[in-house]
Amino acid sequence: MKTRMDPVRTIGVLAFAVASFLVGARLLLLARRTRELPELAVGLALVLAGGAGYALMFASARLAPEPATAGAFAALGALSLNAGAVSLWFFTWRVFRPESAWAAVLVAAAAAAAGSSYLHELLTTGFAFRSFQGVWYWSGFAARLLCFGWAALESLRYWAMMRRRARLGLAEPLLANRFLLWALAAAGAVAIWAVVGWNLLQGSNQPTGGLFENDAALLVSGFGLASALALWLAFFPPLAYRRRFDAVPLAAARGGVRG
Amino acid sequence: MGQARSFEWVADALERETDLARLEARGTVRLALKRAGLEARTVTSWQMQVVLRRVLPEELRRRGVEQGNALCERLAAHLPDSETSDANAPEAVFRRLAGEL
Repeated sequence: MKTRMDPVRTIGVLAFAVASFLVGARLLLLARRTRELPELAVGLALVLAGGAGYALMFASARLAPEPATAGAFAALGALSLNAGAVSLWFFTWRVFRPESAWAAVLVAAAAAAAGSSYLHELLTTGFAFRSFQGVWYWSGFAARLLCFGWAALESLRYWAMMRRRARLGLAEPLLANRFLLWALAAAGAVAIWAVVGWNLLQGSNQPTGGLFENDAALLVSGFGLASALALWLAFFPPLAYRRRFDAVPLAAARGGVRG
Repeated sequence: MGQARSFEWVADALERETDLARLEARGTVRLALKRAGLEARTVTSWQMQVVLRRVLPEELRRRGVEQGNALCERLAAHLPDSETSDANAPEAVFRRLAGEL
């Protein structure tokens, strides 16, 4: 039974990891062309936190043949997840709250939490034995979960603004929809991390936080699939999806309404 | 960071040409911008023109300002073309992220 269920349990997280990796890689290529920080930050966040981080953690749990190798995979995975989380904090700050002092302080605090949590585990256990307890672990966990939560909230707030603009012809409906999709993708990641947190609080000591080991795995798979779909539609919208928004005309051409 | 020039220009004009006090004039423009999904800090001239023609007249009518439509139309026609879209505004970034350069 377990063997038959495993693909169902893993497909959502796998889809999320693959979508994150592909979209992130494309955004990094874009960043190389535009030389703009937001593209670089969100590209790194997706490749490291959504793609490589999950893959390395999965490898440490399932594929590594011995504890030392598993520890090395876990150390790399945790580094990837934390670096990706910091990139996402940075992206949300620079895009949605660039002038805000409190947002700058929040991002600095999150980066400090993620960095110190990682260093603490590296220097104490070397990731050979995963301890999911204590303030060091949970401060890093919070930084990894809340980066997606903040991204979702800011994007939802902006989506509401863009919808009002779209009604007046001040924004393209497809562009407004992109903020909703990004919020949904981030919310899916929050849900995945929340399940991990719940499992750890229930005593799971699996390196992947019990993502694939209990009944909640089906829920996680659903969140992963939904998140992957939202991410894909946001940044690779197929023609059929774009056409849904073509029927809504812009009342004012971008750049001016005089005349 | 201060407010956008078009915001200041419209708020000053309302204060000058209506009975609204300074705070009332600025608050009225802010409310109109909020209804349009915009912010006083980042609104551009062309966005303000749409707000002047489509949103602000209603806000002025609610505050008992007569001839609000005509006033807003006049302001829209004379609004200095001072700001262009910010390349780092969220909408500009999200447009780029989908490859719409």
